[in-house]
Amino acid sequence: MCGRIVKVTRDNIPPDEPGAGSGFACVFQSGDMQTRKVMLRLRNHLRTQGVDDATLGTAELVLAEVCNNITEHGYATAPGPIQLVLHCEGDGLVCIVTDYGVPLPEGTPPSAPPDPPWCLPEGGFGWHIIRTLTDRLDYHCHPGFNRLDLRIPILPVN
Amino acid sequence: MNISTQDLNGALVITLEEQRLDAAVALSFKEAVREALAEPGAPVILDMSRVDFLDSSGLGAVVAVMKLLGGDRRLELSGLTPNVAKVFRLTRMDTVFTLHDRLPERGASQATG
Repeated sequence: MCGRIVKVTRDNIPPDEPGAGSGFACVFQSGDMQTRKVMLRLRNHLRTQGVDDATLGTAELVLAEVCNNITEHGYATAPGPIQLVLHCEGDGLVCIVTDYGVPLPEGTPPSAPPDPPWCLPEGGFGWHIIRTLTDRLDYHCHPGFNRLDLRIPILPVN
Repeated sequence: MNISTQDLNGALVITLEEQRLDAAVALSFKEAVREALAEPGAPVILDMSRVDFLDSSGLGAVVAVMKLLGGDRRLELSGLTPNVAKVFRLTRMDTVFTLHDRLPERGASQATG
């Protein structure tokens, strides 16, 4: 079930979720620089929606980590499309990230914490950061695509 | 990756002249700092006051710089903006670096030890 990779084009990428409304949706080619450009667009979008700076920074960090993982692991051999759909819902930002690359090895996001700080780890922080800053994280690999649903709480401004 | 260096009472200050230290520039950051470390000065203070976004790749690059210095020179960090400080805090890497709110004034005595 997990592991079949289907070549897709922009035409057969699943449509945006209903209710996106004034949300943010885009499809882009995986890559560090492309992720950076999309994160800057996302930041501008959320700012126009009145999202506070702390939540905005959290959303940018979480989604950058997700997209970096897809670039580095899911599309390790060749770049491919990443779809990002996001909207505000109640006191949270609901996000769906879809890719068509290699699924996560265990079929679920890693839950091991990074090595302790005194070991001076240079990696292994990504999923820890994502898990810490989200209150919902559901990963499913489907035939030909992987989908990550996550929710970032909007904390009340003091 | 643009960086600049200055001597501050014997310390080598390396200032990141960029707003983002992310996966897109983590490697070039490490290379630029490696070259800058040819200049004398201790401790080495990384001035991050202009950086408003750091991801785990950027954090890994900062840790790599610390390892690069070995035991001879200490790496300290200065001017962490809120989003950057959050990444250090979440990963508890704030416990292994000496953090300064801002660079000491030129002429002020530098802490040693």
